[in-house]
Amino acid sequence: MAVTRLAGVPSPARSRIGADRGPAAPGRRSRGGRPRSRVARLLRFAGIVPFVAYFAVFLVVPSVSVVSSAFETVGGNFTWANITAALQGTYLVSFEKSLELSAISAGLSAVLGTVVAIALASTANVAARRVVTSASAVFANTGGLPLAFAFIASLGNFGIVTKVLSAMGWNPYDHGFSIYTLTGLVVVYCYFLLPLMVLVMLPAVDGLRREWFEAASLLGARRRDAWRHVGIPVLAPAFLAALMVLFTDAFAAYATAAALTNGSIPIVPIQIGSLIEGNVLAGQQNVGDALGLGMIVVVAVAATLYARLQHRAARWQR
Amino acid sequence: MGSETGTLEHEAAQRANGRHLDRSGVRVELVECERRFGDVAALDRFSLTIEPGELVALLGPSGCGKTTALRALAGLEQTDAGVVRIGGLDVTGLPPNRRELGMVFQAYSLFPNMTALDNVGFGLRLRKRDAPTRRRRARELLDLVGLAAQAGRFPHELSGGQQQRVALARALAVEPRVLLLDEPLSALDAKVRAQLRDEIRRIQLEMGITTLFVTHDQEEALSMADRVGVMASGRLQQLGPPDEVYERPVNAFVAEFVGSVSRVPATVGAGSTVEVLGGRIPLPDSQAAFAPGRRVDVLLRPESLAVRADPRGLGLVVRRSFLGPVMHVVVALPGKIEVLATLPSSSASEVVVGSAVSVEATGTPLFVTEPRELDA
Ligand SMILES: Nc1ncnc2c1ncn2[C@@H]1O[C@H](COP(=O)(O)OP(=O)(O)OP(=O)(O)O)[C@@H](O)[C@H]1O
Ligand SMILES: [Mg+2]
Repeated sequence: MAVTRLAGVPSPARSRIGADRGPAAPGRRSRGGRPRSRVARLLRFAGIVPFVAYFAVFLVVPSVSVVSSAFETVGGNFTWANITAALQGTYLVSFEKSLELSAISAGLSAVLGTVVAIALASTANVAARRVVTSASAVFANTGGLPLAFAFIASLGNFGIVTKVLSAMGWNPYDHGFSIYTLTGLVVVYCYFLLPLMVLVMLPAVDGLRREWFEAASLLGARRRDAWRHVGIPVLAPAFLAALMVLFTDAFAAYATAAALTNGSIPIVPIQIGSLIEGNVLAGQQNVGDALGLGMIVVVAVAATLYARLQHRAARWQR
Repeated sequence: MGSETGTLEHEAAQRANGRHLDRSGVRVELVECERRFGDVAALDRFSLTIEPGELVALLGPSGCGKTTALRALAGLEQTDAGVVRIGGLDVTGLPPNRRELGMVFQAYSLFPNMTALDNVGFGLRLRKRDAPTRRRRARELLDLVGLAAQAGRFPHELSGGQQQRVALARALAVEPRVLLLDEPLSALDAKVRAQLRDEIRRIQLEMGITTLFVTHDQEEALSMADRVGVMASGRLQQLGPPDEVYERPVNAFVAEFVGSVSRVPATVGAGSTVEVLGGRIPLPDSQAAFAPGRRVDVLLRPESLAVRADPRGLGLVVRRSFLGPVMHVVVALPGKIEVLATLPSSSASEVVVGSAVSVEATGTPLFVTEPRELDA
């Protein structure tokens, strides 16, 4: 869940909205000189060799193996059976659930996280900003078993928050809420996705210049006009990129859901997990690979959609 | 501060120049405006009136409150006290989006997600003009600032000077009642700067739009403004036509801030004269009341100092710079005094760095003031 620097995130070194007039934006980073010899040119690429090797061993090789196994019987012959199985019954439901869970938790976190980032960027309270950013860095990297247990202990059937709320006469479990449902998972996922969104969006929001809003205002814009015509379009590329990260993050998350729901909500990673653990009918060993292929396809579709939207949103940056 | 007479004189001067003073603009008044930031009084009972169609340049050292004054007029900065009137109407409580002003900022402020054309058309879009009208008007204005060919470019594809031109066109597109410029040229190189300065002035005169131009570049202020306002510590020190501010400063601050002066200790003599540098020159008319025998400092323009090569002179040339037909020399005199003088470049062979010279005051001092304590 590393916080990557995204394409389309403007430089943070600009004046902030609401903040005091800062120094002018620095120029773009300049490139180093051109390497003179062939050796020098090769040396320049030497740095990325470890990355390429890593990429090959841990991404390309497994992907190829997943894709090829998805079309093979246990004996190694070509078959459509795994794919057909993956698109039926519980497996199909698991794709629906996974998509629902990732889309809702990513969408919700993206919107709320942006709002928080905007609030942080415009606050004059430097200490508050620092505290929230540091806390976000911690929460964004919390996941798996510890997170699941934390939620069970607070919002579970007998969790502390649940008890406090029931003592106050409003037990969430009497009103259709449960931490062990899809809604519960959305809440838990937002716990790490929202802070991640805050961290990723903050540099972009910092890049909004106060002068844009002031200029818009003088031209007759109300605050919401300025956001509609300038603020939101300027943030859009970074927002889309971050949304994409959040979606794939949620879509691939396994440990948290597994620990929390004990497999009762059949999202795709949990299905694959149980297939790997060997709880399978004979002849279905490779259905896990078909599900993996399905995940690759979903992410590819999401990435394509993202690229399309990004192309439109970031037109002005090229 | 004689702003009324200043204006009348100025108008007369304009008519004499054959230049037509457009009356289509509105009058702008800031009355006794106050703005404090903690201990700093950015505006200290600041009052300024800009006549319709006039360009006033607000000049002053960094941090004196120029930007604050302009922002108070724009409604971007709240004032603690005072009244802002535009066209006779009290707009003190009005937000910026209802003041109908155009503004060009120091920092590049074009909307990065819109082309030059869309930036210029933005104000009209908010006013719900249809797209063809908007585009036609935006093109006209881009044409006015000489950027018709760049209409389709995004801000990051424009140079700094081009961006400021587009910003000017954008501000003018909504036909604002007043144009506000906060050091719009300070990020540009000297040549583009001079060119754009002339262009702003041309457009401003053509449109007859009341304009407040903030700058800390006195050449800019003196060369393009109808009147120059000199500001210090949140207060307007003097407001008048450029020549008046340059030739008849109301106080030592204005005298020393506008143009170059040398400060030289002197003694008031009999008959409205002052003894300085071993000679005797008249006191300025407005300051004839100084009592004889009083110790004062006189402020002298470079052209009121005559420097001659003289082996027995007490002055020593420490710096010299050529400015074409004339040259500037800095001469050190006994008593830690340094003076700046202008002399014809023809005397270059005699007056060189390190040579002994005599210095004499000629004409009338610019201003006479209390002696400054030499505590250094
Ligand atoms: N938002 C603010 N918070 C605190 N102090 C401020 C703020 N804005 C201005 N000041 C102070 O008010 C004074 C006047 O500032 P202002 O920006 O008006 O100066 P200026 O004449 O425009 O200077 P410059 O030529 O450097 O732009 C300065 O001392 C400045 O530090
Ligand atoms: Mg300023």
